[in-house]
Amino acid sequence: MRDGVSTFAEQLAGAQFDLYAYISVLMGGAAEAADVLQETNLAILQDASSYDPSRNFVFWARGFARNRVRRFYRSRSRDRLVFDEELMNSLSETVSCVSDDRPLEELVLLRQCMESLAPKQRELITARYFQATAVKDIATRECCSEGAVSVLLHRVRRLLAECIEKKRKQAGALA
Amino acid sequence: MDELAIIFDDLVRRVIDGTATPEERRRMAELMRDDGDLQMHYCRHMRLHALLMCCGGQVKADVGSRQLAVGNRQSGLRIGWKIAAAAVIVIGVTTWLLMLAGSPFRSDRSGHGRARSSPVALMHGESIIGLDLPSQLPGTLRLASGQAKVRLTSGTELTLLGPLELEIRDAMRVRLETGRLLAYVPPVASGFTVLTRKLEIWDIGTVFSVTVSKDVSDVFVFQGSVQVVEADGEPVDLCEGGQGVRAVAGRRPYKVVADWPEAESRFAGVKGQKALKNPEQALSVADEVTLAWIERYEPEEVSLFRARLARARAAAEAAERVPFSKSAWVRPVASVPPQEENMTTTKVAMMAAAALFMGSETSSGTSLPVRIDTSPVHNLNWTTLFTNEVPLRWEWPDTATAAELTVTGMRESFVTNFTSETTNLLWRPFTTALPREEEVYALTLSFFDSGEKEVQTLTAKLVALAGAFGAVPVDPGPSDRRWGKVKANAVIPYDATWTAATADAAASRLVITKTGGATQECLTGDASGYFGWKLVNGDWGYGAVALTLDFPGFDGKWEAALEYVAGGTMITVR
Repeated sequence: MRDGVSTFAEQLAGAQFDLYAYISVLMGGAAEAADVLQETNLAILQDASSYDPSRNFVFWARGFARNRVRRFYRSRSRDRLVFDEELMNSLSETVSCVSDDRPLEELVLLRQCMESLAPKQRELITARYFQATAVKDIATRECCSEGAVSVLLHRVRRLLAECIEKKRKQAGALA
Repeated sequence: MDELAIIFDDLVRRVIDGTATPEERRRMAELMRDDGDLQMHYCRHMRLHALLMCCGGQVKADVGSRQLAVGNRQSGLRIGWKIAAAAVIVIGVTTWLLMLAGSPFRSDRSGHGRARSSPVALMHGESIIGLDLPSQLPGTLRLASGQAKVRLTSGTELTLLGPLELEIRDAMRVRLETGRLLAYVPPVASGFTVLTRKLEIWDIGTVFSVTVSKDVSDVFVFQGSVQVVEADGEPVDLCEGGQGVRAVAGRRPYKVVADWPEAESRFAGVKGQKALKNPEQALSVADEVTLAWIERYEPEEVSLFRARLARARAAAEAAERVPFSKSAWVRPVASVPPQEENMTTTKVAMMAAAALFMGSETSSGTSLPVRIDTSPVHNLNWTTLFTNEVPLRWEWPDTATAAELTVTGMRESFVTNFTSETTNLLWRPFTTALPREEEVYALTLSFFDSGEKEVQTLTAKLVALAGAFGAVPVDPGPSDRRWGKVKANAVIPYDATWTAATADAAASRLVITKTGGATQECLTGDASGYFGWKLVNGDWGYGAVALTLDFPGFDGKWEAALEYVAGGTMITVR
C-alpha cells in the first residue's frame, strides 16, 4: 500500500504543472487559479480510491480540475466568469491538442527551448518568472514602458511555444 | 498574421499580463468562440505562461494541516495533508530546479522524470541564473547569480551566493576560487576544509562563511570553531563565533574580532544557526564587522576594503540586471521588397512615407517620402501618420554590420535588430486599422560596426492625430485649441511660427509642473512638432498642473493651467 500511495503521490506531483496550466486556460489566467489547483488536489486525494491505474492519470485529474473551475464560478458572481460552459468545453478539448499526457516531458522541452533563446530573451523570462519581477518594475529598470516589456515578453513566450511545438512534432515523428 | 489574428494576439497578451479590461476579455472569448485556430493560439500561450509561473515558483501551495484519507479508503490509511501537499509541490519545484541547474534529467515513457544521483545535491535555490553542478568529483560548480544551497555526500551544506566558482575536490574538501559561501558542517563532517588562494580553513563542526575576491580572502565564524592556516601551511589562528580572518595580497593574514559593543550587537542577530536562515544578511554582517574592525584597528586598509565592497556590489547588480533592449520584439510585419519600392533613397535621412487617405479608408494614394531631421536650424521634421502602414527607408552604411531600430511611444516602445543589410521596413504602428488614441512616436535607428561601435544614428518623429484618420474640427493653433476634457494621453502641438517673435526659434521647451509635486521638462531640437504627454500611468495624479511652453533664446511663452478632476482633466489655456 505504501508503494501505491507513493506512486499516486508521484503522479499527482508530476501532474501539478499540467493541472495548473489547464486551470489557467479555463479561467483565463485568473489569479485564483492557484486556489482552484489546491481545491483540485484536495478533491483528487479524497477520491484517490476511484482512480483506475490503467487510465491516464493526467486526463483523469483534469476532470477534477474542470469540475472545480465550474464550482468556483458557481460560487461567485457570474460577472467574473470569463468563458461560458460551451467555450470552456471547447477549450478543454483544444488544450489537449497543445499538450500531452507527459507534462514533465513538456518541461524538459521548455528547458531545452529556454536554452535556445538569445541571452537577453532568457534574462527577460528569468526576471519575470524566476525572479518574480513585476512587468512594471522591469520597465522601470530598463527605462521603457510597461507595454514595451509586455510585448517583449509575449514575443519570447511565442518563441518558446513555437519551439516546444516544433520539438514535440520532431519527437512524434521519431517515435 | 492577418488583422484579426493580430488583434487577438494583442488581447491574449493583455489577458496574460492581467491588464485586459472585462470588455477585452469578452472580446477575446467571442473572437475564439468559433475559431479553432484562435483557441489553439490562446491555449498555447496561456499554457506556456502558466508553466513558466509554476516553474518560476510563483505558484505556492499552503493548505494547512488537515487530515484526510488517501489511497484505498478501506485500508484506513491516513497521511498528513500538509506533508502530502508539500511533497507534491517540493517534487515539482525540485524537478525544475534540477533542470535549471543543468543536471542530467531523464524521463521515461510513463512521464515520470528522475534526476540522476549527483555528488552535489541541489537543495534550494533563489533567483538562480547560470548554475552548473558537477556530475562527478572532482568537479567545478559555477553560479552566475542568485543563491543556491547544495549538500555534499559528507553532509556538509553550502549556501552559495553568485557570482561564484567553487572547485569541489571531494565531499570533504573544496576550493573557493571566487564568490561567497556559507558552510554548515555537521559534527559527522568535522574536518571539512575550504581552501582559498590565501587560506586554508579546517572546520571543527560549525557554521562559517568564506568570501573570496580578487586580492582578498575572508573567513568569519558564526558558530563553533575553525582552524585557519595560510595556504603555505603557516598557522594563523583558531577562530570561534564572532571571529574571522582576513587575508590580503602582500601581507600576513590577520584576525578580526567582534569585541566591541556595536559589533557584538550586530553579530547577535546572525549568531549561531541564525546565519543559515538568512545567509545574505549573515554575510553582510560579517562584512560590516570586518570593515568596522579594520576602521578601528587597521585604518589604512579601509580604502581597499571599500573598493572591494563596491566591486562586489557592482558585480551583483550587473548580474541581476536583465538587459534586453537589443533583443526585443518588432511589431512590423514585413520588409518591403526593394523592387516594389519606387521612392527615393537618401544617404542621410530616414524616410517615412504614408498612404494618404482621402476621406475614406478605401480611397487612398501614396505620398512622397518626407525627409526627417535634416535641418540643424529650423526644421519641420514631423511627419503625420495617415495610415497604419508606414514604409521606413534608409541607406545602410558601408561599415555597418548590424542596426537597431527603436520606436518609442507614450503607450509602448519597440526595439528590433537587423543583423544583415536591410534598407527598409514596413511598420504598422497600431494593432487596429485606426489608432485608438493620438500618439507620438520617436524613431531612432543606430548602426553598429563589427566591433559593436556605433557608426551612425538616424532619427525621426511621427505623430498620429485624430484628424488624420477622420473628421475633426480644424485646430490651427493654440488660441483655437479645444482643450476641453482630456482623459487619456495628450498630444500637445507646438510651433514657433505661431508668433512672429519666436518664428526663428530652433528649439522648444515644455515644462510641466505639478503643484507641490514633480516637474518634467521636455526640451527638443525642434521648433515645431508635438509633445507626447503621458497622463495614463504617468504618475501625475490629481491636482493642479501648470504647463509652460517657450522657445529657448526667444521672449514670450505660452502657459496653460490644468486641474485634474474626477471624470476628466480640464485644461484652460491662458
